[in-house]
Amino acid sequence: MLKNLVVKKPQATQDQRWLWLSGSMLLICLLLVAALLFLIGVKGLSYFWPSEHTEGVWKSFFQNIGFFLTQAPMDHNQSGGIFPALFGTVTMVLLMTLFVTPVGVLSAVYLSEFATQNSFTRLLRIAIYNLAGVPSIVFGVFGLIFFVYILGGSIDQLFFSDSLPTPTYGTPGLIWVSLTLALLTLPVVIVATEEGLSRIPENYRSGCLALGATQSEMLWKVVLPLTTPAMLTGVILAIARAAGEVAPLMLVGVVRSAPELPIDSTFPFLHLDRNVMHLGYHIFDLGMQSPVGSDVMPIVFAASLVLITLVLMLNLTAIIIRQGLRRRFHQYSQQQ
Amino acid sequence: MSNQRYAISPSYQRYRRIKDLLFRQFVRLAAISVVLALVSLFVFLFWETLPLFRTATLVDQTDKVQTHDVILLPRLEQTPVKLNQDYPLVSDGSVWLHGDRSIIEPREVGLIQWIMASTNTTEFPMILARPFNHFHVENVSLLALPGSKAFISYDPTGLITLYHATTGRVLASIQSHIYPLKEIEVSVLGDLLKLTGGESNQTQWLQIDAPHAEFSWSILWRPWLYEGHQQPDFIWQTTANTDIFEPKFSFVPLSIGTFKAAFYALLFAIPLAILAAIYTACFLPESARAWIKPAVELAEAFPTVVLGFIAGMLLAPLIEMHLAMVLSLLILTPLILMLFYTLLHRLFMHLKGQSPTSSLLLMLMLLLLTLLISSGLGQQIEVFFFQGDLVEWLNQRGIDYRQRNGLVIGLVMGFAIMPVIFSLAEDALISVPESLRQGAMALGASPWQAVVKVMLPTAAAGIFAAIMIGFGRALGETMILLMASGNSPVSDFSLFEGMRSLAANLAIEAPEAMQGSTHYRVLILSATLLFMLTFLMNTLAALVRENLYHRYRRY
Amino acid sequence: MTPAKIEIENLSLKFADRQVLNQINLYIPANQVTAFIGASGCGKSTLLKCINRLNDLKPQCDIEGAIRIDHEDIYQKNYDVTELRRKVGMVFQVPNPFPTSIYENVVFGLRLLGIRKRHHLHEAAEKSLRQAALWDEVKDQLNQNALQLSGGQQQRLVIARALAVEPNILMLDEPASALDPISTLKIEELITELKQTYTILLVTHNMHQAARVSDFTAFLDQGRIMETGHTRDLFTNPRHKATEDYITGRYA
Repeated sequence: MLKNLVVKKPQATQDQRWLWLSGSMLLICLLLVAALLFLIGVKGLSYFWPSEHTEGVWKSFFQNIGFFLTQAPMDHNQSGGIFPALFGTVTMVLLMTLFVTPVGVLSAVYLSEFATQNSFTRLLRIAIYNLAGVPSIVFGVFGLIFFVYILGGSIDQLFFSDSLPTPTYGTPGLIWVSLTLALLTLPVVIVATEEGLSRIPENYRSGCLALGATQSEMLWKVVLPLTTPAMLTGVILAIARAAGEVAPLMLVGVVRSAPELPIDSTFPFLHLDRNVMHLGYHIFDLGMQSPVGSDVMPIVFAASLVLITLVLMLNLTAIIIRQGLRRRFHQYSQQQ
Repeated sequence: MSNQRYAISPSYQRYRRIKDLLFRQFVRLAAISVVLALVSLFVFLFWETLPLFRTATLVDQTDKVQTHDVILLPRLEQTPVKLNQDYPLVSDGSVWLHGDRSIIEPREVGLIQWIMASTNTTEFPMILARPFNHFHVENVSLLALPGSKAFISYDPTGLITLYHATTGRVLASIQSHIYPLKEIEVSVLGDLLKLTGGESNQTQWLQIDAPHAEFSWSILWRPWLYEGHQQPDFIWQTTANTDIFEPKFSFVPLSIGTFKAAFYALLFAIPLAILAAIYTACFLPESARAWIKPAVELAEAFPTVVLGFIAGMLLAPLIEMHLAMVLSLLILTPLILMLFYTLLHRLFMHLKGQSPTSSLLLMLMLLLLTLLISSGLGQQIEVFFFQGDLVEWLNQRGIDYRQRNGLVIGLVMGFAIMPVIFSLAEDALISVPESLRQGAMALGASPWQAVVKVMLPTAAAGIFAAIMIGFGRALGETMILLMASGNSPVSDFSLFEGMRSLAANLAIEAPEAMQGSTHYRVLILSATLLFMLTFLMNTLAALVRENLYHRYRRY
Repeated sequence: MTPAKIEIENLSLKFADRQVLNQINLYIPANQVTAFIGASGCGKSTLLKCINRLNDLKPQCDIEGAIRIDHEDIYQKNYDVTELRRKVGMVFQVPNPFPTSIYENVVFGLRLLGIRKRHHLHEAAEKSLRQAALWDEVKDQLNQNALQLSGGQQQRLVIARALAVEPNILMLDEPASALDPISTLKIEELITELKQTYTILLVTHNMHQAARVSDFTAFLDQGRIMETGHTRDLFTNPRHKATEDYITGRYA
């Protein structure tokens, strides 16, 4: 009788197998990430490593890196440095930050602090969150239609009609790249800010209002300062995403080789209508469209290493800020 | 009673009120601009595709046309087809369409189109392509329009009809007031018709307004017969170097490419991500979870252009060289791992009691060993069963192997979407209340049983949403496909064949498409479809997740 | 007879479809402590929040009736809510000092009013911290983060913060419920002290506290005022069965 009730052993074995298998899958994920980082790190750094073993090997190694980061490309981008691409990336991303931060933060404030929470705001929130999942190339197409052709075309008609039919703004350029990127990264900033706002304890708000503060004073003096790290996280993540994005930029103003930098000493100093170079596009272009037979792998790996370092650093900063934030709010909630 | 010491100045209070008001308006403005951006995203994409669906018209322009500005096409260049032995099927009154590759023939039953089924014009090439809806065929004359595959038919009663040959559609039709209508001439640009006839040699001018005649909804989705082809097929081909070329807009190969790439990517990513998420959420101690989760999520930060470069330039040649090894790594690894774990468990029952982290180390060693074994096995299998070269073996059996193929895309894009699925699935699992699992364990379930029987069903909706979002990512991913898929628009589900996705197609063609052309608008239509597809999928996922959230908030 | 400070007339409040307050009529005298007692969810806190209009921002909140402070209807159109909230200080159940320094917490309300002169702020901070019986404990660490204070100190800091803007009325919403007995005692002493200068409204769950501290008591049940009166009378000789049940702890 009792024999029938004994727990079957094979069942437990099978269980353990699955548990271990799931663990192995996690390990595979981690191994893949590590292998990729290792591959790019080694291949990228070996590009800078001096070929002959002389005494000042480290010195020339760092010199090579410095040269790579600060010099213009040569020989159809196949040698030389990546300075214009790096400079272009940084310029367009900073310009994007200028657009996306105020709009993103303020609309997050509107969504979670001012708007009545009804089905419209719920739908709006879902729509904004879903924008993050819309393929970036669609934003590129939209940027091409709306920014370049419609907006840029009208600007040309209004202000630069002398130089028509040669377009000034009605053609891909820096400003359109930045605006497209801003649209693309808007959800990132909004989501992060809203999350930050929702973490502020409700009694800070009521405490502040009970002292006679207006709603905007409450936000400015208490809520927003506490949300700053969350906003910062959002903006950094947006920058990281923008820096790594390539596909939409190909449509709205990134080129293989730009004759001039977007910022220079001639008036108006910041040339919003110029085409720019971009690190990601540089990698794509070198990797895919170089003449057959030319060995571009080492320099592409070097450029990839720079891009990945940039993006990973940004992401790590965001993670660290976010962890600090969680700890801090954990502390608040324990205090209370 | 007043115990106030400080007089509050009313002007300062007013200043505060105004500041508050201004700030509110400012915030509202920002929100409105976001809504506007959202709406304009929808609206402008649709707006630019709308002209495709506008019906063509023939408009009387007799008063407006400056006759001396119009250059008419010399009648000599519109060569009617002579009955000869080359084309015994074709009757008198037929015309060559622009490019001299197909003939429109009037018959009693209606108009029909013959096309050359081969690009080689010396052999006998004509096949019946398609009939046109036409009910009035007596005394009908035909006129091919220059620059496109459109033509018109007219008869002495003055009924003029505009057709597009490739789409097989009647575009527009108009009744002229000239009777009897003798002749129609066309301008060299193909936009104006000059009608002559009547008792006193009247003339009438008609303007052809059919900018997107070569487009129809069914041409996008149905197999279509084009000049130079023997049977209907799904073809995407928008540019060629000859001017007689007819563009071929079929979304089928692009859609197949998109879904194929996403499917193989999911095939690789789902087991990996979901199992890893289960282990992370259910079996890792909080301290290990705190760094392992961000470490996996780090994969999301890799710019896809770098992944695409590695896939296309490094991985694709490597996989071609070691195909058997790669396949055996993918298929045999889990099997061998299972075998190992069974053996281990039988041999060392005491291992059960170890803490998960230390068994992670053990797992790592076992995993590396397994990878070694399965790759070695793969090489041996190739030598024994496939004459040492799997690619060659496949080719001999008629299976085409491209260097940039579904396998490469599946692996690399799978890696790219793995962190998304992992992260969201892990979130769903970790938000299942601990009490549920403990309840199951209290009833005697083993840890894994508790996960499978209690946690997985509870988090199922969240995991489903995670997969949906991963799927959406895969559908829209551009750079990896652009760089590693070969970009050939073929309708083929084979793992070893290349593909072209909607997104990659946009990246390739959108910068070059002329603004306002049919090609441009068809591309925007494809972007709109992609947009709606991913947006709907994400909305579904969001609703599922929100439901889940409401369901478990009470715990 | 003390002049009426707050008159509440036919006040009803609905959240969505839930009737939270039902036809409240009440007369709250000045310079006295009025305690509100009643079971959880009977609307005591909501009633307080009506008096400084903190319910305004809640969605789907529907208020009828009138509240007059010194014969002025606070729900009239164009009434300055920020000024009202300055006059009616409120202290919440959970101490909620802002995560800044002690000093900044106390002068927060004054800065809002546009007072910038350093010595004014210092003076006011010291005065209200003394009033809240906290000065001696914190005078050497005014720049310390307020979150590092103990719970009882935090609650007194919040009271000081409310006093700094010099209100006429002070509303305390279960000020001692999150505190230990010693801190509770200190708060109670403080309340007795403060009623010299302020009209005090006190919501409490603690019958003994109500009996110890208040002059008048109102018993609320399911959004209605069941009974009001001098605390002594109400506790010794309740007129309603429900009141008696509640204060003797037999409330179901």
